[in-house]
Amino acid sequence: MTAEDTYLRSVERMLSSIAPEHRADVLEDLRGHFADAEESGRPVDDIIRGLGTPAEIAERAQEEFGVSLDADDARAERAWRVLHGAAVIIAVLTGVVVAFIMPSVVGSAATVSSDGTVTVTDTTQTLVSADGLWVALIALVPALVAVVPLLVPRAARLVTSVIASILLTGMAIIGGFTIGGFFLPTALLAWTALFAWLSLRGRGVGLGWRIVGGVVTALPVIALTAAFAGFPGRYADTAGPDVQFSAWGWPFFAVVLALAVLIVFGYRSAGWVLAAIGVAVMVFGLVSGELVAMLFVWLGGIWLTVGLAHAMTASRR
Amino acid sequence: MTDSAERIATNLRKGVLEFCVLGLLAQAERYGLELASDLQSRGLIASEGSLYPLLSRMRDGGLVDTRTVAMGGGRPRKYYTITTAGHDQLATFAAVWRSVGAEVNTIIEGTA
Repeated sequence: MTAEDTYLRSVERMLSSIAPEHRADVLEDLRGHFADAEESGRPVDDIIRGLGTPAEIAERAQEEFGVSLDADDARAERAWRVLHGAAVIIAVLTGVVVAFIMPSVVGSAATVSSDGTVTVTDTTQTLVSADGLWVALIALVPALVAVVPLLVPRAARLVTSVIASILLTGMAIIGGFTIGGFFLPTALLAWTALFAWLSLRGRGVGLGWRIVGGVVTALPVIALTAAFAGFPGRYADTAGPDVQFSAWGWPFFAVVLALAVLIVFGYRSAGWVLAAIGVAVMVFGLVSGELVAMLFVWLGGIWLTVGLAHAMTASRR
Repeated sequence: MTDSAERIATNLRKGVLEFCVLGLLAQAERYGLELASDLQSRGLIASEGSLYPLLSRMRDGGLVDTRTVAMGGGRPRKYYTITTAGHDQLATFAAVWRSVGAEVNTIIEGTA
């Protein structure tokens, strides 16, 4: 990286608290300044000395624009609405699928035929047909809880949002491996919305936030890779989803890892792509009816949350 | 310059820099480096970089505008121009400056 790039990077970082359009203006002018000065034969060191330190520029920008609370506020507001809105949408989708679509085993009957063969027949039913409409509607309670913070006045947002997030987490944990666990992504999105909102209104988010996003994205992939690579052939004799999974899994894992890296570097589009993958994985988990459905829902939920949170907070493209 | 002289100068320059920019642009449109070098050689800014946040804010406030001119090699160069609002502001400043300056001169004359 050239001295000019390092300097401009440093200015960009120090200007993170001012509105993006002003930041872009200043950086564009500085680039022009460098280009014009270089053309006139000034050495780069000399140009940088003349410009002053990035901290001086940031200080002047702070004086000119204030802390640009309005712009920060608008960004925080948008990030919160999108992330919390996603929590509500996911809660509704999950509720509908869990109540009306997802098959669950409600009983099994063994029959012994005349030649002594035992046939076990599982009876599967959806929640609504097994327990009736009112029980099924319980699956929509998380959606109702999640929607409250969106409806209350701004002044009550912090309190309602914290309460809703705690309730959602509680329901997901108490519900555990029954239907509750399917709502973990909703709880995760609600907490992330709250955290992003508070951070963007405060000091903003930086490299630490992106590293956490990248690591959380990559961890499940690394764990799964280790599980498959560490025990070669373990699933080879198992027919069914595991074998197919490992076959198309590698390129897919590579894509997710690449996205994790791009997220650490701050590219916004990587967030959108990861969020889309997260939704796809969640939907696959919800409709698959597999035993591991819950894992897919969690995995997709994590990727959706990280991707969306990154897309709403990234400063680059 | 002593520390205290430097501090006084910094504070005064801070208040008038914006109008000096308007004044220079009223003479002719200029690109960033031109403006920065000019102001620095006149001792009106300590570092050239601090000019750019000011220009961005002034453009936001409608006092100056920009015009992009294609340079050799396809590189665009941004020229700053003064707007009508900028001219008005400059005229207002000139009047205030004259009256304040005259009063300040009257007071410090003979005391220093």
